[in-house]
Amino acid sequence: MAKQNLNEDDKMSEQLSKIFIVDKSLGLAGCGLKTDLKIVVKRARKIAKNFSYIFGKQISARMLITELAYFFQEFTYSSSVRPFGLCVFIIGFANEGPDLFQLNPDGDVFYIKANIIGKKSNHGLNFLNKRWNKDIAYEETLFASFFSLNEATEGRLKYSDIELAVIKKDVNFKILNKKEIYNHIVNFELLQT
Amino acid sequence: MTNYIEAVFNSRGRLSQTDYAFKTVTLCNPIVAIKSKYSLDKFFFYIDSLNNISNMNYHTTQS
Repeated sequence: MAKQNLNEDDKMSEQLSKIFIVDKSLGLAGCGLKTDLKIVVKRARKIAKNFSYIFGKQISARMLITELAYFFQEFTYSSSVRPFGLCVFIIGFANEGPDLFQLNPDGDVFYIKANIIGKKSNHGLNFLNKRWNKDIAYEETLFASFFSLNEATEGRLKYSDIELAVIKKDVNFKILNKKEIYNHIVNFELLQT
Repeated sequence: MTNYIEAVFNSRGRLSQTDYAFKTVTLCNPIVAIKSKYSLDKFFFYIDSLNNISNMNYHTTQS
């Protein structure tokens, strides 16, 4: 993997990103049906825009997830519709610190510290349970996220398939580009596998 | 960090639509979200705010 070419122009097709910016310091990542994800992102942006128009400040992650949870739950009992095939992470930054939420298809909200969702997430979750502690630093966080993804994909993780987004205090939600991700992976010597 | 996904059967012994939605999620590529330690930043923020207050007092006494 270390010898992978940075220019991935020879790829036949590229998938739609799973991470979206909702507002300046508010991001959303979803796992599941991507077409459903587009609808949810559109809705989230609309809620955030309405809030900032009325109150003149950015909506918090907690309020946004509450609104989205009502939206999700409506689809579980309405006729002629189906629930969203989606699990969504929402990350934001409030005065008290970073907020991370998980929203399930039934409209259930969890305030989480770390989690992995998707295919073979149990393998990744075992790794995450071992690595995570409450005093985990930024670099260790990146390390844990890469390796838990590697566990979930059974060691077949390619750097070109990774998307990474970071939020920090006083810094907007940022989706890193391929070069930045590559530099992080080189640091962890993940590529030697 | 527990696994929240569990199957719930309805009165007919079938999976509900929401459970099928959960199953859809478990077939897709994984995503990780991790929150790192923040207390250090908070501490610095606290110091900053104290400095600001002391500076403000200083300026008010000067004027």
